[in-house]
Amino acid sequence: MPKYPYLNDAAKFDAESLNTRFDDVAAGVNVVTEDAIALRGLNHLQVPSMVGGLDIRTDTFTTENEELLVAIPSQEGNPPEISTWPPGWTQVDRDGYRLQLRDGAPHYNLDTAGKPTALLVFANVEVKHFTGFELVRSSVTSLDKYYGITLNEYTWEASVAIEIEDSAGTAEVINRTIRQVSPRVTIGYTGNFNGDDPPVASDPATGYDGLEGRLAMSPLRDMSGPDTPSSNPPSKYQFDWKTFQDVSIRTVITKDDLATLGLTDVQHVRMVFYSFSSRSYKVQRANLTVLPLMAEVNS
Amino acid sequence: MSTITPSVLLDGAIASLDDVNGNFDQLTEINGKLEAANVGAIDRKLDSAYIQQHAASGGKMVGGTANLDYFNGIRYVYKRVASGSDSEKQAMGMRSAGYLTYLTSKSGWANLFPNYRDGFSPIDYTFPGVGDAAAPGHTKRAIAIPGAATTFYVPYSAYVLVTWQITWTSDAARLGRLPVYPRDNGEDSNTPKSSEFPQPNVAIRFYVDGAEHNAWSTTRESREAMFAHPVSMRAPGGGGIPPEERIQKHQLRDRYKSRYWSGHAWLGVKTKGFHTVSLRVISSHVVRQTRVRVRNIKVLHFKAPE
Repeated sequence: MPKYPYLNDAAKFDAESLNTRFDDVAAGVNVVTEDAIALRGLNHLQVPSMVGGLDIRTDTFTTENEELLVAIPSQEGNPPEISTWPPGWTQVDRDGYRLQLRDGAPHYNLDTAGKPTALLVFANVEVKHFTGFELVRSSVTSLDKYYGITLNEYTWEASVAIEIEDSAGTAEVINRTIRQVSPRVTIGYTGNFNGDDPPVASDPATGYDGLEGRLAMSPLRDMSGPDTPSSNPPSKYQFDWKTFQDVSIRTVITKDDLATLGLTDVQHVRMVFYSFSSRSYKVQRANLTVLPLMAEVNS
Repeated sequence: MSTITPSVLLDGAIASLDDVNGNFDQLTEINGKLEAANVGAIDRKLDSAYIQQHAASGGKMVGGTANLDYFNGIRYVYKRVASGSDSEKQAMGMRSAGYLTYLTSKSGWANLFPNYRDGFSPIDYTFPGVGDAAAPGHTKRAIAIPGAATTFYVPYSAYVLVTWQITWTSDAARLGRLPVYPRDNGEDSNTPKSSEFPQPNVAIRFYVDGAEHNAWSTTRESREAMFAHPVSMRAPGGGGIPPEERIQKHQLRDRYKSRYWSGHAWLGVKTKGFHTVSLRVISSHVVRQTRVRVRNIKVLHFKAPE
């Protein structure tokens, strides 16, 4: 860092002399060099915020779930149901599930000096329960009381991932962020040892439009059935079918990810949903935070 | 830090006092306020060697290892019958489904619970507790969890990010006969209807500086955790009465039904000073016991722009 040239006796002191002195110092400060900084020399008064956007005062870093999309015992809500496949990952275009990092250009390309070089992503969502399972009644008359449901731990799963979209509108899923959960229900024998396995559609003549047969394994029960099972169909409320599982995703997105995915920058970050086993499920209580960091990520 | 651009003084002209003072004033930038452009212009990496600890970011973590148990104090709401045949003691029949049903079958709601009125849950009315642990409005009832609560200090205005890991389970159960279709037709008036039969739940909720952060995102809930195998069992009295379906004694299935939460919350900019964050547990009053295992709660702060 240049030093301010001292003014010596009898030296000429004019505009040029002053300009030179100011310019020397300004040039040195404007481009701080290593030798100008002592080890551990900079405290919080000197250093800038490492959380940075192009306008960190107005950019949005987080989004949280809306009340209307959450169901609790005492309040009916409308949690999004993930049930559209193919073609692929499903977006939920509501607060808590997607974040537009900036309203307009320029967007983060994660490769510009002095601009964010990494996006730290935190995503959480609750898988509330699976839908689309079927109730099974024994096809053996004397065993009508034994019910089951088709939900199980080995052929049902929900998948969640992070998707980023660039300013050109191209969206890609980051595969390393895929998280999966099973229904996480209790599994036991149903007490139904007779009949078709897998179950088959019931005879319309019985007036029951569900499946009949047996299930080797099915969620356990938390309630008895009706008194007269032969004339009443099973109900899902008898079984363990709710899951309420948190899915958390943490990742760092860098310019390498953009290059790998063929994206130019990042305009949107989203949680996206899928089921590789084509199961449907409901989600709620989502929140998504994306932190642009002006820090180089060392692998 | 703004880029320093001194005003040029012209030879032969009277120098403006403002220009000269301004040129010196700009040099106050040396004292601080580097900006991204300045950092970017530095010819070598401005890494941690040059920055004082906690100057740009900081953090704190607390944790716990103990099992923490919380009880509702109404332990025997669902007490099973203590006497009678083995089948009565071991299993919940469709008729004698739980202690409340048993009691009310003997007495009726009105005698058992003097304050009972139609249209209100007898349990809620008798024990004015928490009906729905996930519903807003129970701020004072949620209990801060040791190991998942901390006070932290931010030395300057800072963005604050909080993350945590916690697991919990409970013995929440719905013991009784099916309260839904088709039970609403012609059923015993002493039998709880679905509208009067609460769905027991336990919730972990996140608070910042004493107020709940967001009940609709930073909350996690669990429901029933006790289940049983259905069995065919001879009815009390035996004799010629055919076996009826019963549910065996419910057992805690925490292997399947305990829940974990690796959560986070972005608190935005918090001012310089002390702040508190906490996870709090709350359960429906029909849940007898909730067991919480905390892993940790972490606070990370990043210096915000002035």
